[in-house]
Amino acid sequence: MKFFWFLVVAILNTAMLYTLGTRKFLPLDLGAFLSLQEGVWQNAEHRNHSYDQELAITGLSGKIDVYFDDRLVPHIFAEQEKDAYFVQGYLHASFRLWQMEFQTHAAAGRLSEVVGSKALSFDRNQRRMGMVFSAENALAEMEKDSTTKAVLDAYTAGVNAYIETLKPAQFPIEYKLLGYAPEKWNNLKCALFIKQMTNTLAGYDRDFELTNAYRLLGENDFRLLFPEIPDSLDPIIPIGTEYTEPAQSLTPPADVDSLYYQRNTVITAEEEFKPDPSNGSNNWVVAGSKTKSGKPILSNDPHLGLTLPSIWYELQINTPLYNAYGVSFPGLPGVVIGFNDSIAFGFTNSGRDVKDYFEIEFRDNSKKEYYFNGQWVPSTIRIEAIGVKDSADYLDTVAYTVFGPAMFDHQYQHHLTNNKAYALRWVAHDSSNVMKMWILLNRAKNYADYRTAIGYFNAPGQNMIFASATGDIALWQQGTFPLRWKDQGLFVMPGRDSSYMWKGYIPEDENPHSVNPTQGFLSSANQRPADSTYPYFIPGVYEVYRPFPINRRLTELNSITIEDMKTLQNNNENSFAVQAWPILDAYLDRTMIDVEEKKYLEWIQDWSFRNEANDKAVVCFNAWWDSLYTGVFHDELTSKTVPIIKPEKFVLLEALKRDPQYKFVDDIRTPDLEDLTTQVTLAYKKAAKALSVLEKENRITWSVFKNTTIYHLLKTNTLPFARSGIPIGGGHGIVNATQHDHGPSWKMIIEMNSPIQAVGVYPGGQSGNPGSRYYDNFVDTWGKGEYYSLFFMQQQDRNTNQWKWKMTFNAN
Amino acid sequence: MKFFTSFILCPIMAYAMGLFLPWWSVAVAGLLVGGFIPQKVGFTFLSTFLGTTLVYGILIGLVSYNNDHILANRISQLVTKQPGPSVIILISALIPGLLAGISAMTGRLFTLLIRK
Repeated sequence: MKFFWFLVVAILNTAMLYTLGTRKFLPLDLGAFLSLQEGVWQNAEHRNHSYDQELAITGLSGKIDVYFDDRLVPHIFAEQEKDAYFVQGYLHASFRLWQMEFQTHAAAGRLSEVVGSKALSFDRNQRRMGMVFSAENALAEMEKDSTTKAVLDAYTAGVNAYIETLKPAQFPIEYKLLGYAPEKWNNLKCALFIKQMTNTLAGYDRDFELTNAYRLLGENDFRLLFPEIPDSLDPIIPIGTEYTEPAQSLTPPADVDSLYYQRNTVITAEEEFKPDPSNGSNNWVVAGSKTKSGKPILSNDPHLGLTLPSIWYELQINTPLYNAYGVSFPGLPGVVIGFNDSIAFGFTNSGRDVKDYFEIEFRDNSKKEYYFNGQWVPSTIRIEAIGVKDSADYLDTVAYTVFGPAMFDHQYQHHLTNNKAYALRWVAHDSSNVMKMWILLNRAKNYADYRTAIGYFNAPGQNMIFASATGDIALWQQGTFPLRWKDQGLFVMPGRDSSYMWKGYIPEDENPHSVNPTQGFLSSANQRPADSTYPYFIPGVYEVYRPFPINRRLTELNSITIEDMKTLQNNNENSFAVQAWPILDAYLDRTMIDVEEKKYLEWIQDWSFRNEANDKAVVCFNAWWDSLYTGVFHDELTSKTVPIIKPEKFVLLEALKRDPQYKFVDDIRTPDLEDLTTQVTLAYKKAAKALSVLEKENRITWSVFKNTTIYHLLKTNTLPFARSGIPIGGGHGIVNATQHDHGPSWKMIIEMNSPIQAVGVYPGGQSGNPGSRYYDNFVDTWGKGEYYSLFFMQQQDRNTNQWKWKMTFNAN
Repeated sequence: MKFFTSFILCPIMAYAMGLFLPWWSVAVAGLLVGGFIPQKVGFTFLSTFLGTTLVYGILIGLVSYNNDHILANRISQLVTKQPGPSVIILISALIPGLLAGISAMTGRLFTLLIRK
């Protein structure tokens, strides 16, 4: 009997130990996960945690002091520049290790290693797109440059110095949640991070969809729906700027009609993971002639997916060579957006198309040879081994051609037959020393230094804005942009020979730019950089409405202060609605609107055309316009069975302003001829129906409807780590570009005064630890449209009490 | 007295071993305390279970309190879908408590078996 009881209890005991130690029965190994001494409780940071620390580290050349201010922003004071990057790596790892590894794993197509086979299609996409290939190319180029190599080496050593001290109990929560351990950092991961940003900002492409649209709609309709230049374009480079004659002009191949425009088959290949085309930004700079202080003021707010931990980590780097402050990317050395004693710099995305597909034919299923210039030529086969958690590696074969990787083939998209494949030509694959730009910008003293620095940058093409303490302002759209004959690269190109390949790049000096313009300011908001007088064909996806309030205000304002710039960054004016309202107003048949439906119309009539957080008319207007858009385009553009894309929002508005008899207004599915009045009225009635549902659910207020949410990087899997329901206005096409989970990821305004005045904020916190009070402590300030004054620390401040904690690194 | 000794010794040993052993150190502590402190099996369980749950509960509660329950609130919603820190703190204390108690019973029953 004793033995029986012993057996029962021993089995129970073993079962309990086993259950607590595995994820087979419970979603988590709760024994370890909730353990006081090794689980998540170790990540519960004391409210008065001290960040004071004294460290002895081998490999450093001197002593480094890091002063943390009360927002946990580090101010690094180093005698040697190399040491500063080492410490930056150490700090990034201390506060953001999981995120920097996760993001570079994502870049490299390695998420399946962490989360299992559900990430396999994402990983295959990354590998096939050539993300690792492009990072390797970039790294080889960066390591050829002794300065860049030294910076990367120091940064990597710093990250690894921290990782080496880390015991499993101290791993960031996400490692405990997902059940894995951090690996060593290396320079390739820095390159991968750059490529991930490149894909985010220069990876959106619609070649497949436009090819199909052109074939199905024909020349005339295609041009109507996908115009090259909007009527209301307000370009980055002031209108009237003269452009030099192009150094080289191209003519299309002789067979362009038969092989390019008149292709007889549709494209069935489909990109599964397109980056968000709203990835964009605002930046502007005003010259001293327009400011109260007489010194330039530079503003920048990059719009990205809003995440926790934030994509940004704020810091200051002080070395004998320079003193720079701003935000950095955990995963990269240097200050990415910011200022130093002499200059300020910021970025917005160019939106230019630098990604084309070429249709090729393999000789057989092995993909070892493809047809090019009249013969079968060998491809380079790259076998991608994708590690999958709890499973064997997945092997994917990617054939590299003269164009680039054959991303889409029969092994990836099974409907591709007859050995047909699409090879990707992308500027991101070209080798370049991108990192050098930031190294040089951080220490730049003047316009000439800035100009030299940005020459190192190839992709993603950016609008690089500049101001100096000496009073210069400038903006260059910088990057490597292919020279194109008209329409080249809009559609998938034939890859049977070299005739459709890119023949070169737009000379850098001819990139759109402006220096000290007479208007006294410069701005960019992802619109087309230049008007039609710019002598190159520059397709892309461009914003139309966001620039209007910016340029109007900057023109109107004088004696500008930082406060004025804050107001402008928080501007909620809806320029689209201002322009669209007269059409809706004129063509609505009010006799058709019943009493219950009328309410929403009255709200819109009383509306200030501002997307304020507590406004209801925004939701009503959007519903109405979206309903009209669908009514106009749905009949022509959804009956198709292949990937196709809808026209941009401005297309319908501009078409209706030009011509109320716009040919797409008629619903081709009915025998009657619908006119604009019918469509606008019908759209209103449909919208009113949806709005009454929203109203019942109490979701008709803009901020409630939009529900601005900053997701944790694991998205809905970790909703308790997110911040949702932030009461904030703005939206797509608004200067305050805050959408549901996308928007101003860092807002900064710098006045080049002496001393420099700077304010900034980002929707997150300096710590990546969801168990820290510094994880999301900036969110409410950001949500209210407020800013922090940035503490631009100087040598003499080291002996004051303006900082809170001090970390000292001694050479061992 | 044996009850109290087990009550206090089990969590102390568990914590001490936890400084260099993984989370299951609490099972080892339970086995040893149960095996070497002779009590009725029921008291062996109760003393180690209550002692460990209480001590771990206090320690975890203190960690969470000093953290203003920031982490507990988030983990609680993630694991138990419940708001508020108490449930997750209780679970985190009950796990080592139960493990200690059952391991102590195993230890005690094993001693009884070999003494026969």
